[in-house]
Amino acid sequence: MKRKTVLVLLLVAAVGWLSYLSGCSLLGVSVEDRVAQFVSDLNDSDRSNMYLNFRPGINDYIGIQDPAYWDDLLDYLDAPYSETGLASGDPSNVTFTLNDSSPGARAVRFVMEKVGFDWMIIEMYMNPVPPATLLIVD
Amino acid sequence: MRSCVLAALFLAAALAAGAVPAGVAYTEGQASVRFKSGTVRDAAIGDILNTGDGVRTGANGFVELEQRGVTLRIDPGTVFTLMEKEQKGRTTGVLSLVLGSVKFRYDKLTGQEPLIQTASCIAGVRGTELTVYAGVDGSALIVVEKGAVEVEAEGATVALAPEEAVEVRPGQPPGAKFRPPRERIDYRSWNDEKLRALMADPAAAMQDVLQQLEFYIRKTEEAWSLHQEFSPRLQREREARRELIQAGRTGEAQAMDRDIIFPLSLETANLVLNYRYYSVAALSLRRFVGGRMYLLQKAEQIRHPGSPALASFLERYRSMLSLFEEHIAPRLLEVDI
Repeated sequence: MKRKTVLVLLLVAAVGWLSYLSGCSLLGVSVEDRVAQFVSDLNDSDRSNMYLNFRPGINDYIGIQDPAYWDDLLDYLDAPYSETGLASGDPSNVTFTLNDSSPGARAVRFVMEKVGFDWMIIEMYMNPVPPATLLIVD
Repeated sequence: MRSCVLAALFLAAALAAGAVPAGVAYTEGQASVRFKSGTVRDAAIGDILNTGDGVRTGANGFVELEQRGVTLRIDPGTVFTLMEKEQKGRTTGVLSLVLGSVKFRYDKLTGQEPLIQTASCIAGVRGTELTVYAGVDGSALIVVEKGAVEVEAEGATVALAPEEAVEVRPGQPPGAKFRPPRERIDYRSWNDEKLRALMADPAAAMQDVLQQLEFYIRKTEEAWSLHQEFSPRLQREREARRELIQAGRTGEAQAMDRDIIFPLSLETANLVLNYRYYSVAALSLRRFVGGRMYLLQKAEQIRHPGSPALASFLERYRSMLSLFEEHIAPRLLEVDI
């Protein structure tokens, strides 16, 4: 009886620990997490970290490090941005609508690649209306 | 102002081709990889190099990189970095050879062959096998074994066919084509010749570097000033759209977004890619060519203190630093340093 209780407690602890790891993204950044992080970074007035959502080594990597690039593309005055209609089943074709407060919208498509445990963006397509056109590519 | 474009090793791929990441297939001797993060470690088979990463080989070092259909043989004493630039509306990856020599061998041609860039020129590759040498004074030597290459410097272009070569000095148009010796050119001998010329007239060599830097400055400022022109225009259009929305003219606002604002925002953002490319190229020139020349001359100063040639060199070197600080440093980001 006592042994069973200990086992159950251990099991509960293990499940709790896994949930904690998942919540902290220690198990990696999922495709959905990456989209959420991208949108969250867009809502930061300092766009210096936007490029960190992209896999180092893509062709545009040096260029997109400049926050001015993002300010030109997606005006901070139109924040807060939010995403709707996320289709994340295929990492090579992640699509969603990026809404802003103006109100306005962009059709966005990401191509993602897993680097270690994290999904990173390697290509970005965007357009005022679907289909999204090429913007940042690997 | 004179422009100078050279040939070093910049491997670029067009947007869709995207061939920047390169893997270390083989390494021996002293060879290190410098990652964009600033981490430096010994090169190892399997290392992946991305934009902003670089390779440096020592006197006995050798690295072979593989990159989507291209094999790069990095010879001893070479420094290069993977970069990219925006060209004619498309982003192009670039492999920048700062010093040393690299041989490219293409498995097949795709029509989207990379640019190759050194401190003094840019080469458009249509070939399957070529070697690029970058000297201590910023000169470049391009030797084509198979295929064809177009070398551009100072607005002049030279087309090279198989078994043809051309040398480009920084700040100068390409020299006359010549037939290279059948045996592979010995980089060390070629570079020693550059070094001797540099030591004989360091001020002239630094003047060439200065001209190259001026070219990068001009290109950086062209893109920067256009960006400064486009950016407020974009803001004005965005403001006008907001006013339409406030007035309830949603249809007109949507049309304005689609027809004016979105294309303008792409055009403006692309200018950022351009000035970033040239300013980071200028940083490499200052660090690896200018900085190396300075160290050589400082060593020379110990042997021949008070040399007038050295004084003249230092005057130009300080001009280079001053121009860099004034025009390039403001365009750099913390991640570049």
